[in-house]
Amino acid sequence: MSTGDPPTHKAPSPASAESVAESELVARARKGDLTAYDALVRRYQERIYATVYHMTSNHEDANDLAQETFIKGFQALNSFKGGSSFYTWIYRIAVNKTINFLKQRRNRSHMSLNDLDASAENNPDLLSLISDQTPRRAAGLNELQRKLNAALLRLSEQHRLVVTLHDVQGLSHEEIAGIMDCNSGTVRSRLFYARQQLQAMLSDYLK
Amino acid sequence: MNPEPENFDQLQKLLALKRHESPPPGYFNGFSRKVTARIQSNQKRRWQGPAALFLGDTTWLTEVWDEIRANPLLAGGLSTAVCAVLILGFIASGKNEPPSGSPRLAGDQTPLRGVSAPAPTPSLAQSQPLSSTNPVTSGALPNSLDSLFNQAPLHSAPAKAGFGN
Repeated sequence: MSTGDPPTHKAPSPASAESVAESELVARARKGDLTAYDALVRRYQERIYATVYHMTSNHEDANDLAQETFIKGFQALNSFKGGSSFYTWIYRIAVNKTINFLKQRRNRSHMSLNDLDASAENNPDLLSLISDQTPRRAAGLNELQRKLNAALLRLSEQHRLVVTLHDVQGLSHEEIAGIMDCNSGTVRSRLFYARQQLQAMLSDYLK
Repeated sequence: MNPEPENFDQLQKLLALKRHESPPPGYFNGFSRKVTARIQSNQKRRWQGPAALFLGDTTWLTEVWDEIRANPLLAGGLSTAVCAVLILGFIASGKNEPPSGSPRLAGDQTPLRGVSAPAPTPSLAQSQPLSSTNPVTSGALPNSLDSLFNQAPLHSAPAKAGFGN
């Protein structure tokens, strides 16, 4: 089986200088220092927003949920014992909030997709998927984007989450296991079945 | 499980499209400011709300309510527990009462707790039929009503009226 790992971003390791600064920021934020918490928000806002966005396929929902994640994070800072990194902890809050939201909104979700950035039209891998189907690259990519998001929304929340965290955001199996509070074998298994389902749903677009 | 090993290369190329979905330009510039502003307004509201006067910090109540709303199993468990407590309460209160058929000491005139003593019903069969046109006679009154006036003996004393002498 091809794992085909996407380019990964590194989570801050405990020994790095960045992590030390993070623990200081957390300690200050815990005492009510909003400037320190603002720095933590800026550090993780893009990843948290992206996770929620890819789970909901809706920019407005992602905006609300990402903000609420950081607000809840601030309120719950006293319960953060430091057993995991702040990064894993805030991710866990975001994931739980998003899954709860999706359960409440089951069958009532609608897509509000962000625009593709300009670099998408120059991605040879993506172009190879559409070049035979349409002469206009942008139109072809937009249709592909809608089909892909619709297929993702048909996955269960747990399956969508592992695909989002691993194949889109590039987290390792172990990091995902830490966020989802399960073992990495479960993550691999869910990832496999999620990919199988997606492959079946999108077979018309995969050569 | 699978007859041939899965090849997800094409799928992963397609999933790479998701990484090109970006929020509007400049979206993240004000994001953290909005978060901190909402935290500050929450803090002000929390300590100014009328409930705060009595309950203090009510954040935990909101969080518990959110958890219950989001988790149907938890909501079901809690409602079952509340029902069980109510039922047990009813059963326990019923056990404190002596059974209605239990023997009572002779001369014990105290009414049973929780059971209202039946009001003495006038024996209308012995009296004349009453109607609004019948004059009220002593015979028409039930015997039990007489006792209302006989219970408290009235003492009369000669009035000593003085006219200032």
